[in-house]
This record gives sequence, C-alpha cells and structure tokens, in this order.
Amino acid sequence: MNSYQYSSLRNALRLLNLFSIEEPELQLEEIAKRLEIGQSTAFRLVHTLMGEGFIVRDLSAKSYRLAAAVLALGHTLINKEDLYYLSIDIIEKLAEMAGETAHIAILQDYQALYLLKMDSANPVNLLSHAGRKNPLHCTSTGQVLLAYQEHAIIEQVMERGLPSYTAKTVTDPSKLKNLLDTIRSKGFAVSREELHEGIVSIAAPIRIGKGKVNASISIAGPASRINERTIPRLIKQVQQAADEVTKKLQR
Amino acid sequence: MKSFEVITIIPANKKTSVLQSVQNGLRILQLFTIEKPVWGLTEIAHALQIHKSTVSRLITDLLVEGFLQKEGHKYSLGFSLLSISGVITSHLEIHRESKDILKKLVSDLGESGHIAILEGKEITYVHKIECANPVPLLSSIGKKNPVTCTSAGKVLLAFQPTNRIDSIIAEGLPRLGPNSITDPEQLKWQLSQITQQGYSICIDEMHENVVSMAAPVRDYTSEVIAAVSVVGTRERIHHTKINSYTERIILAANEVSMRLGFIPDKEWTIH
Repeated sequence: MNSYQYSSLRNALRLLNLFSIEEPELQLEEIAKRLEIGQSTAFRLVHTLMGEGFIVRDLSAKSYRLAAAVLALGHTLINKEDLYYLSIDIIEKLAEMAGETAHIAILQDYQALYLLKMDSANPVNLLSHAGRKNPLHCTSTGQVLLAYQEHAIIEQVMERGLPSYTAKTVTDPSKLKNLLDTIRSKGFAVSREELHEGIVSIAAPIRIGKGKVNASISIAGPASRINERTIPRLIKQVQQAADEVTKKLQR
Repeated sequence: MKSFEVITIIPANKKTSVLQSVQNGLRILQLFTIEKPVWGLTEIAHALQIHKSTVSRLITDLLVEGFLQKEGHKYSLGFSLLSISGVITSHLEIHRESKDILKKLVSDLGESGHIAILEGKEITYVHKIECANPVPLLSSIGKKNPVTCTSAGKVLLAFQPTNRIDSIIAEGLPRLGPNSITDPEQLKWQLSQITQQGYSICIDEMHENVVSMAAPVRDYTSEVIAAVSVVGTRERIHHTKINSYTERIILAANEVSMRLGFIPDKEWTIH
C-alpha cells in the first residue's frame, strides 16, 4: 500500500498500533520501514506523539515505547463497558479458584477481542492481554463466540480462511462446523494447543438478552496443568462463572 | 543517508515543528474521561476551538484506526486504545510486580494507594487502588499531576540528576494547595532531605486537607523508577499516624524493589 495516501494523523495512529506485546519497543528506522515513510517524517510523528504524552523515548536503548499515560485512555474506555465492571469480581474469583489465567472476550471484526485478563497465582506467559485480538477458529473463546452466531457469519469466517497455527488447528470447514455443533450442544469449548503449542483453554458463553451470545469467559494455561484429570472440574468452574455473569447482565 | 542528516540538523528537543493535525487528533482523544466518556462533534470542536469540518476529518481517521467508535450520533474511545494500553500493562514490569503489594498496603492502612512513575516532566499513575471508603480524589489512573506538589512526584524528582531537577523547576512551580512549594530553593532543600531520609510527606500541597506519603522503588540497577504513595484526608490520616504509615509505605516500596531485582544494602534497609 502507498502510505503517502495516509494523512499524518492516520500515520500517527498506525504508528501507535505498531506496538505489541511481542514488540513493545521500536526504533525510528523500524517505525519508518513498517509505515513505509521516510525517517524524517517518522521523526516528526514521534516528536508530536511524545509532545502529547502518547510515547516516550528510552535514551539508553534509542527506542520508543508507549507511554503509561495511555493507560488512562484504556481505563476510560473499559469503564464504560457494563460487561467489564459487572464481571470483574467473577473473573477474579475464577482465576483464583481455577489457578489459571481467566479472560473475558467479545466478538469484534471476525476476531475474539479480550476485554479483561486476570492472572492467577501461577501466571504463564500467554501473550494475551486486554485489547488483544485472536482468531476465532482456534481458541476456545473464539469457538464459543462463533458457535452461537448466525449461519451467515459462520460462513463468512470460513470464507476468510482458517489458517493453521499448530498441528492441531482445525483448518477444514466441515470439521469446524461439526465442532461448533458439539460446542453448542455441550455449552462449552475445550481447545487443546490449537493456537499455541502447550496451551489449553476452556471457554463458556455469556448470554445476553434472548440467549444471544457475544461474549465468553475462558481460562487458559499449560497442558501440564489443564489435562484430562483437571478438565472436568475446570469446565464446571468456567460454566458457573459464565452463568453468574449472564445473570448479572440480565438483571 | 539523507533523512539522517535532516534529523541531526533539527535540534531534537527544542524546535522541531509538531504536526498540527496529529496534535489535534491526539487532543481529541485526551478529552475523553471516566466522568465524560462520550463526546459529540460540536462539543469537541468547541472544547478544542477547532472548526467542525476539521474535527470531522480528524474523527474519520480516528474511527478508521479504531481509536474512536460511534455511539449513536456521538463518539466514545475505540478498542485500539484498549489494545495499546494492554501492551503497556504487559510490558511494564512495575505494573505487574506492584499490584498485589499495593493492594495489601491499601487494605492494611484503609487508605487509597498509588504506584507512580515519572514520564517526561509529569508523574503518571500506573496503579491506583481505592480503599473501601475512598475520599473522592482528583486523580484517576494515568492522569497526570504536577511533580512538585505530590509526595510521589517529589520522591521521583528527588532522585533525578540535578540538570533534570533544574529543568523541571525552570518550568515554574504551580500553586495548587495552600502549602505548595513555589520557591525553587526551598524545593531543592526538600528534595535533598527526601534523598537522605528515603520518603516524602506532603500536607495541603496538592489540595487543602489532603495528606500524601511516598517512598521510592528501585530496580536492579538501584535506580529509582517508581514511587509507592498513600493519600487521604487530614482527618483520616491524623498527624499521629503519619510516622507509622510512612514506615509501612517504605516496607511496601522495598518489597516492590526486591521483586524488580534490587538488592538492598545497609543504606536502604530500614533500621
């Protein structure tokens, strides 16, 4: 894409979106390259973003990172969401009981968007965080969200392609359809190493209004802990938490 | 490389021209607060004193990149902001390592507590934990406060190099509460006291009737990178309690420091 078509503001926002948990710090050359702009333009963007307190420069590493002041905006956004403040205590309790990281996610732009992540006493590096988006077809969260959508939406997700992330990712549309049917009838999903090797997750739907599902609760952790022995108990805990949130939302 | 020459010609900190449209776009985002999370086009134009047509163009960009979303005919912050703030919370070690220690401190003392860092010339809160019966205070997470009127700010400033202290003082010392320090010499003297004693206490400096106490957090390089602070009213934090509270805050700050790999020597352990 030709980035000269972008306005300066678009480029500044694209710059902010370059930062990720995998790349929390970026150097100027890298920013210019990724945005396909000159280094002098990148410098002016960075300079303006610093002036407004959105990024800071790490002098020793000669790199830039997001400023903690951005947390205030994230906080403002999330506090507006009923789902967030109605579920935060329940999620905290789930993380503690299950001893695994717990999440709440919603469906957004054909992806699962985590609204909230709560670490347990035994956190593992899951590469998940509030605001992170994951594909729908290969996480328990995504599969639960997808299972309860209208046919047309399920078809659209399949048409967009089912990329493979591990040997266990379901990439065959008819197999995925069967899986979604099973999830709907059972009321939960267990995903074993379909997105990341060694990570197992369990999710259950949050129903809003007339049984409509656009949010889900999940836990995720290492396959060594979430195994055939512990899964039945964990499923119950996740389902119970999801039902509690559903009840609170319906009140 | 040509672009590199451009960078060296422009003095890095001083006169590089800001991009007006970027600045305006970012200022739109900064309007949104917990108290007022939804804004309309006219309100934005009015608040920032920019033409509606210009605001409308900026909003289009903010919508496309997910920094705003539509809320009927108005706008609220978009999920890109959640995503980038999630990157910060995962990346910022102090954010991860300090939360449960702060929680414990807040429940022990029954007053609200903060973890603050210095960003540029202002302090930013990375955690703000309210006690069970909070006094409504004016700082929300991430909201910036002047560095010279808060105990956390003074702790962070006290351990900065002299030239940094001087440049912050040169910006002027705001008067926010009846006891705000506005005399540079007095402030410098206080800061040197803080480095020696290892804590800071502010009474009536940020607001009338508000007491705050703070202690420094050090990382594995022994550099002061954050402050733990507790804030309340003078009625609740009676002057007879201040010493014991401060000791408890220092303990909490040391605990966070140790998690960040700081190895205390005699100088920094408490008696």
